[in-house]
Amino acid sequence: MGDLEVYGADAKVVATRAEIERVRRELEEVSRWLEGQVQFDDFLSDPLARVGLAMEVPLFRERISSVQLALVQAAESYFSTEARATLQFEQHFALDVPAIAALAVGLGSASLTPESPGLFAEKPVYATQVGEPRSSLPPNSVVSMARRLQETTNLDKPTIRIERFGKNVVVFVPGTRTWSLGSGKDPLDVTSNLRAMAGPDSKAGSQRALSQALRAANVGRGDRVIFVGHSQGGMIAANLASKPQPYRITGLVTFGAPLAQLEGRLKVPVLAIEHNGDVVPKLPLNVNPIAENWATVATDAPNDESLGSKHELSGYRQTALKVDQSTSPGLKRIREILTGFAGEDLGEVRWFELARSVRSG
Amino acid sequence: MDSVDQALALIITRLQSAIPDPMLWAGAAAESCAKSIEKLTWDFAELRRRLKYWAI
Repeated sequence: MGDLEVYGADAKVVATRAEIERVRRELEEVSRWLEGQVQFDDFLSDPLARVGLAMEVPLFRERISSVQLALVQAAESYFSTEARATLQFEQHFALDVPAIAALAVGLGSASLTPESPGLFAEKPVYATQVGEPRSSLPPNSVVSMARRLQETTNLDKPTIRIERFGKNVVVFVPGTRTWSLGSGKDPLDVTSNLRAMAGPDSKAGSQRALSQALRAANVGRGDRVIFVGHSQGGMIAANLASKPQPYRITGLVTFGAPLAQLEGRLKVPVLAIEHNGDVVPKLPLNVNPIAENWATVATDAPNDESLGSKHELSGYRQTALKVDQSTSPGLKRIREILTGFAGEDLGEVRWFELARSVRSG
Repeated sequence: MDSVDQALALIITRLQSAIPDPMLWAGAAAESCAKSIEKLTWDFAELRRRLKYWAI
């Protein structure tokens, strides 16, 4: 299992690839120009000074070269190999993923006949409280957040876990559970995935059901909320966090969730944890931005056998320990905001089961 | 062809424009890069001053 690679979240770091490349090119030009000053013909003018310059040129060019090398290394550090490959992919194919998702949903939603409402047509959704509220310790580490998310994911039915600590609320949202095409009873399905990818204004069933669960839990004005989500759960939480809500969203923790499509819209502290080779967070065909509020952690999955296993929450649970132990300044700053959110006192936990109507029309 | 003095003046100007724009790239690495380029600029200026005395 490799080391963590962390980018973003450093309050002092702003970096654009274009600017680093511009500096490197300027230096290359200076070096080439310098070389041009000591060609044989040049010695016809200012011969003595030219000799003096010729003696110094190799050392200066070597120094320029070392700055250029440092620039390449800086770019390597900011933008990992995988990230660059993804960007190249994006540049070559120039795909607009939200647009493609919207198109797929559009095609799938088209009613072929009044009796056939289309493959990805959305229907009403419901969120119903199940079981009795219980007391809960605050989730004060990334490990404890991943554990709660795993417990919620393991329940038989699609369920949201909502923990309240006074005015502070932590919401746990599982990922996709049903992979068959078409909208069925489980709103955490492929239909919601495609719709959610289209952006914050999507009418994804899972996103609407999550909002209903929050309303049913009386989360509203004056409350502060952070979301913890895996895969689709992270994406729909991010969609909600990108738009004004009746409550105030103050943070987001995601495991293997596609978020890059929301660059510039997510203003809250974000901790995005991704396994190398997990294709789901790469679905936007872009990398997460380098922003002060956004820490992205990339590392190898502990169970590395197949592409599918790299996305499993059980693997992310193990990675969470490394995230808790990391001393990377940017990551540490964001992590402390999110893991300190719930405070020290006992809270109350409730569960809400999500469902979609299966009646057509 | 430029005289050595003119060539060095142009190189110094070019180096000054190569310093990272803090709005586009800021942080420890950018500062370190800017310092390296500033030092290069200063050393070229010093070389320019010295080579003036080498002219015939």
